Amino acid sequence: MKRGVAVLGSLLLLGLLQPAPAPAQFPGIDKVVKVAEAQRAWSANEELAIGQATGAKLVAIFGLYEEPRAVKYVNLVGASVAQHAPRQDMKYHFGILDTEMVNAFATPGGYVLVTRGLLANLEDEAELAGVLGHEVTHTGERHIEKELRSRKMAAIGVEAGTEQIPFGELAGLADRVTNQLLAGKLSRDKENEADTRGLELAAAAGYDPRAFPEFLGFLSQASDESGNKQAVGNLTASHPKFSDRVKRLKEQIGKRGWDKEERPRLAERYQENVVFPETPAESAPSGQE
Amino acid sequence: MTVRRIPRAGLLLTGALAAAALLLAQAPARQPLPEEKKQDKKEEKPRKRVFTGKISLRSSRQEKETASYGFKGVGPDGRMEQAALNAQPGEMDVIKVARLAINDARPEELAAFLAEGNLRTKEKKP
Repeated sequence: MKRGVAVLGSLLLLGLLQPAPAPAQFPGIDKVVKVAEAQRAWSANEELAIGQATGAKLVAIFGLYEEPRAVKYVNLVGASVAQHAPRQDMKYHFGILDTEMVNAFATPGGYVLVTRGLLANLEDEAELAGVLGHEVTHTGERHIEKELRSRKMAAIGVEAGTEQIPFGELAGLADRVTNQLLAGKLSRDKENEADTRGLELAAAAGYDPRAFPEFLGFLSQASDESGNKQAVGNLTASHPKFSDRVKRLKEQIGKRGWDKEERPRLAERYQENVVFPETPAESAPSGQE
Repeated sequence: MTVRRIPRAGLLLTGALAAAALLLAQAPARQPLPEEKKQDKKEEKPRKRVFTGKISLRSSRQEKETASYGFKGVGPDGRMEQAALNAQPGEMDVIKVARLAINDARPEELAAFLAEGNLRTKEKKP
């Protein structure tokens, strides 16, 4: 309870939630009205609030990897790709989750979080651009919201006469979105759309589009080995078969003639910027070893 | 005057034999240079990013920072454990997410980054 109050305080501090007037003063205003999913899409403010609450939950589970150079670099690659996204009415933010799991997540409201395990297994910047293009498409196209709506789970309780989401309602939505991200899956057409459009974003930024299917091909091979199940099992379970995705992407590349172009992969720049400690002991702050 | 034509197949065979003899004679004299050996070995090496056990680390580029190790709530089969899914964010988690915006690429940084990588900036519509 104390923790909940603290979180609510933080959200208020950040301007994510406006304090609701006391029920005693305004009788009836504390009533929560469920907005039917058919009525309207989430507003930009709701998307942002839900995205931030979901991001906070993901950070609570995994923690953030905060090595400054890697974080800045992921943001620069992300911005390179996101500048070509059709949706520019929201800002895209990028971060790194501190887990060895190989995956990436996009919350509503423009938050894209890749894992340390993913970064450790990418070969170059063009591969990262492909992954980020995929995730930028998920958040830009409101895929999670649409998925929840299709399952009649997107309803938001708002305070009557306002657009404010009460704290309890926001936490519940963040739980639903997080479960969708970590234990559910998006429909095949949404994943295909994220692949297709994500590749276009990476190509529009000038990266070699062949890098992304190459990485998926590597994951396909890696996922066949039982020893890699903990790292890639979640990704495998939540996405269409890697081999199908690679086939579709290669067809797209062929049709667009991208296979005849020489474009940057930027492996060296990737390896200069994405760095990891050698051992846990090395990562301990000085004086604590 | 008649000219005896050498059959084409015979001519090709003779040429091939001569070339093979030349190659055989040169072969023992040509030892691969150490650098070439190293290069061949590098090409044969499988991609290092197979993540069985421990994630692949780039040994020449490691630095101290604040990563902790582990999958954190991911079971052996890759599925999330329920206890992890039940985790509730604290105040710092909320603040950390809000602070992600601090690392947003500034326009001048992005322009320099794109130029350095020979990448493309978005054309502004007139």
